[in-house]
Amino acid sequence: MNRLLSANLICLRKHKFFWIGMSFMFAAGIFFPVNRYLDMKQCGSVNNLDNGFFGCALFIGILTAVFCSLYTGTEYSDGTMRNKIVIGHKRRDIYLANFITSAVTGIAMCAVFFLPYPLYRNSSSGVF
Amino acid sequence: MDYVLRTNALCKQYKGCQALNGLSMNVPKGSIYGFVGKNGAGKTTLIRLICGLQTPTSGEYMLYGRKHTDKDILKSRRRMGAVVETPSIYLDMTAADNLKIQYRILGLPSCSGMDDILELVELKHTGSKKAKNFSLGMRQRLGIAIALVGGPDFLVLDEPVNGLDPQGIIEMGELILKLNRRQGITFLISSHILDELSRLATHYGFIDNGQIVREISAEALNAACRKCVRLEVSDTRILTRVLDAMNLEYQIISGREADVYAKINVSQLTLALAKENCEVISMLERDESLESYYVNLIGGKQDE
Repeated sequence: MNRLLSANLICLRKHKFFWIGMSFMFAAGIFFPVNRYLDMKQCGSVNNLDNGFFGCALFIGILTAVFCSLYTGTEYSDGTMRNKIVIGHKRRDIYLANFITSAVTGIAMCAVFFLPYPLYRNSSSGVF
Repeated sequence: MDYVLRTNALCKQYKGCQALNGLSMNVPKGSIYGFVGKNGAGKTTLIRLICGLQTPTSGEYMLYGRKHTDKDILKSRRRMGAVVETPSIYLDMTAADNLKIQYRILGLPSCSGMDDILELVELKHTGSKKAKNFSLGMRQRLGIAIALVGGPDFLVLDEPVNGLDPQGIIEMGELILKLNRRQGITFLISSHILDELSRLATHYGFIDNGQIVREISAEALNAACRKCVRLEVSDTRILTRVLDAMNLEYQIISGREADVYAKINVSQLTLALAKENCEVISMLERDESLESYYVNLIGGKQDE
């Protein structure tokens, strides 16, 4: 299993959509609070920073669905799963490793969304 | 004789179709075993079974003396590599990256030997070119390079020259011969291109309807396909006396037929036979290629 996860990590680092997804979520992590701040300035309302904390939930479902189909789908279309089975890895280990990789990718994209938040925090009140 | 692969009455049934029907074959160590059969004969099914991609319905096979049901069959699997149907490569990665991933999958601590493998398959200078931009021949060679990671001594290639141009076929053949002669790698190659197989194979297995019709070595096949003149006479006993007197090599096929493996002076032979009251009924020159041998073999089975 460790070997499969290690190989998946290399594939992940080279996967174009992984970096596109991470960049998108980082940009969303910047855009959401800035957008709320501008709304607040315009309307005069008070907006807590943590109101938009889970805005990533809007996108993460779509991004992980696209990522999983691209990442796991190419294993089938390119036939690279055969290489793993021929040398003796079991199918359940391969599927589990792919699942773990996809799950970790989803978590990583969410984590990247939260990265810009410490830059916006008002240390005294937690409000913009 | 050591055998890398032995199958015993292997059967594989899909829902409405018996793909393999009691197939038994033996692949000697160090050989290039050419696996010949028409479309749908069961070649790819057998290859998928021995690579572990599918399980047999019944029967067994042994890899390096271990049965496929043994718990330590994995040790035997680590000694083999395969290119099944199409090369299994990551199209968005370079040749080197594809090999690095295979090293990781195998759990090998370092990628030492990677450059040697790339040089062997002539992909060392592809640099940052991604596999999706490779030609078909390059992809086939990359597939073989991936199969070579870990130093296997048994390679299974399913129609490795499919779709290749004549130059690509020659290069693939040279690579296979190089690996077999220099590194002693045993090959199991299924192919339709019999001419190319005839230049490579040391053993042949002819498959039809999921069964091995004949297993034969290259020497025996060459002997069977030797150029000869087939004579049909009224009495082969008289023919043998005459041929012995003429010092001609021959083989008696039946009471009326014989093959003569030498250039015959037709007039002299006919006159000599006529003196002994032996009639010559027909005389036919035979020069059997692998293709005609295969067609006669499979065609003969259909007529039975």
